[in-house]
Amino acid sequence: MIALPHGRRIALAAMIAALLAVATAVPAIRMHAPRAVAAASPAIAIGRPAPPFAYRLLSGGVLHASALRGRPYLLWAVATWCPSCVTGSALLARHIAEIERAHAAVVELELYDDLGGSGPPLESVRRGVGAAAFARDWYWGILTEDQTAVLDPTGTMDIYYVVDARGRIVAQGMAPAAHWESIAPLLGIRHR
Amino acid sequence: MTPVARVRAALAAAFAIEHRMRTIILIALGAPLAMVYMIALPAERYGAFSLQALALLTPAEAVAALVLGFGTMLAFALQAAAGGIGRRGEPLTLGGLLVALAPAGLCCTGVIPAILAALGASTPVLLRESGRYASFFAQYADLFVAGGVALVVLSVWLASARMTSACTTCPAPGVRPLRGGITNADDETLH
Repeated sequence: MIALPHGRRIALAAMIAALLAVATAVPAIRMHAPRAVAAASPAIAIGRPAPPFAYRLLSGGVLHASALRGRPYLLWAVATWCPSCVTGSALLARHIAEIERAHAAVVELELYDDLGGSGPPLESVRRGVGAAAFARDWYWGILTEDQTAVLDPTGTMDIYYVVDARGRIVAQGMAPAAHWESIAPLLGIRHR
Repeated sequence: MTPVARVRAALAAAFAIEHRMRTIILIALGAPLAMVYMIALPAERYGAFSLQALALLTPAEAVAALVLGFGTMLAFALQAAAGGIGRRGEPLTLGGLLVALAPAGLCCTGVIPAILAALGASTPVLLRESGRYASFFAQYADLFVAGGVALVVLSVWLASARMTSACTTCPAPGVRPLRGGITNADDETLH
């Protein structure tokens, strides 16, 4: 048995407690981030209508939020240098067939100027995901500065909103691919 | 004494048969800590601290997690055996653990925007600057993990050096320790 003086036992216990605190802080901060967004931008809180934006798409067209009325969709703001955004896109690709079957959609949008970070163009992220990323109901576009300020006023990356068929926000959070189990039912996808 | 021989001597002394509780503690605490890192390291890419992040674990991350988990507890055990916790070495060990966690904790979370906001940054500043700092941790994630592993390995080495320099009865590698700090080498010289 390691025999430690009382003071050093306390020091060791404090160190282990500090480690546990760090280990639990990361998920806690992730959970806190969407609430911080809601506090900074009350207009985009759960229960409110999604903003009536016109999103500039990579394909060259424009997607009006009103065009998605009648269908639930995942509105996802990403940075192209963000590993969880890039990996999340690849993970989401596995579900695109069920998203289409449910007549839902994904609107994945690069945050304005990648929030100041330097990442690859969104088109290369899309190509990296593969053929699924070119599905009809997966829209890829780029947010303007004003749109970014409304959707992501805290400058946090990998933020998502689930918008229901009536155009209301019904959920928000971070890293949608990691929370797919709770998002899928909101998009009308029934688990087998 | 070469560095490897020094570590081997320290391990032989610290984990001699009469100190089997140290081995048990090493495994009992090292395994969960290694597991935490096996989840935390790929969590940066998965986006959540969840068991499902294990699906993204790479072989290099698995090795790093094992070194961080068991290396940390090994360093603590050697530090305890060398005279006690609470002196030099622990900051290095804990520093290694925290450095390795930095990409998962700071890259794609709300931490950096929260710090900038606490410093008084307005929304336009947050939108321009938060990615600049957060992407740094994404860009150099591998280096942070490697740095964390290096710090933990260094702390094991320092604890070994401290133990072998403080210990006058440590057995040389291959020399079987006997009770009372006497080795079989001593035993042979006595006859």
